[in-house]
Amino acid sequence: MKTKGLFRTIFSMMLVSILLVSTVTNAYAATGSKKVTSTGSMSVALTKGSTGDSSTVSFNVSGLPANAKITKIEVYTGSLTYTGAVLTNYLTLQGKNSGITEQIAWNGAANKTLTASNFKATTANDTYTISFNSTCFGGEYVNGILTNLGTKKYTRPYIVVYWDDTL
Amino acid sequence: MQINGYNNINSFKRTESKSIGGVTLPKFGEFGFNTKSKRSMTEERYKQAIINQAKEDVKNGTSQSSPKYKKLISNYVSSASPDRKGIITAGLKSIANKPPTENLSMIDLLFGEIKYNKTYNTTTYAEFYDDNGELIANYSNGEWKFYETKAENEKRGEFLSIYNSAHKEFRENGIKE
Repeated sequence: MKTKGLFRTIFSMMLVSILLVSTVTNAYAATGSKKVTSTGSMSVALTKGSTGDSSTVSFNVSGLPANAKITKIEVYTGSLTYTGAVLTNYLTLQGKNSGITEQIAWNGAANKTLTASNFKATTANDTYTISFNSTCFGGEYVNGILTNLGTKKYTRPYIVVYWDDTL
Repeated sequence: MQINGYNNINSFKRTESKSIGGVTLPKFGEFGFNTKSKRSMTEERYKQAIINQAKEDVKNGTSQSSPKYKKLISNYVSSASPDRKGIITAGLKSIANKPPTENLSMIDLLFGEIKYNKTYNTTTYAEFYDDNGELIANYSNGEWKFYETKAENEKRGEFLSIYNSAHKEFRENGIKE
């Protein structure tokens, strides 16, 4: 009987401890991530020898706690279609509210996850845009004739915003 | 040459009426368009101004978004900014004096370098580098982008560290007038 009582007491104490830990976690540590998708695409058409930025895709990140700050942003580049020889130079990520524009190294590989590093500690709720920079080294063949126009397009990119509201 | 109809640009457009060689200059000094400037306060006064801004933002229920906040952080970061205005202005003047090019071409400046495409008499693309070799801006599809340098990002980090700590302190412990 005494053993049973002792067991109940120990079990109750453990339960209280677990509940306390949970409460502390909920009250002081709120972190998370949010994936924002788009049906848009980044595309560019360039003549041979020229360099330029693609069209942009926007991501509106909202609904996170007002004090949520960025710990990391990942950009998923999406699937690729192209004509001719267009070399991707880098990706650009911009935050409208933060005013930050970051150049992110990228060799142009499709379905790749890139990580931005300049946005740490800025407000997570923001409008982000991405685009890429590229150079055309040769056009496509059309009916056996080499043209001087190349194109490149990345479809359905998305971003993942990692945040922390204890900062 | 870029095919603008296809590229369908929709980024943040901020230009002013002055132009060089047909390229409209950006609004230097506007939020996100920093160029080198002297500090207008001492380090200690900046710190106090940042804390005061955090206090005001907590009172108003905002964080990192008011026009006053944006002006203060721009001012703070710009002390570490490269001379974008000088490099871009000198760069565009140099391009204006060059003949059209079929391929991306380069010009060395006194404090940096530029790469550009020029079709007929129009600069269609240009990228600008500071003397550390960092990309500081580009012009494409009639739009400007200002890229943040490592030094600017460090400066922004300093600002955010002070601001976020103060904001949290006022949020959690209240504001004592």
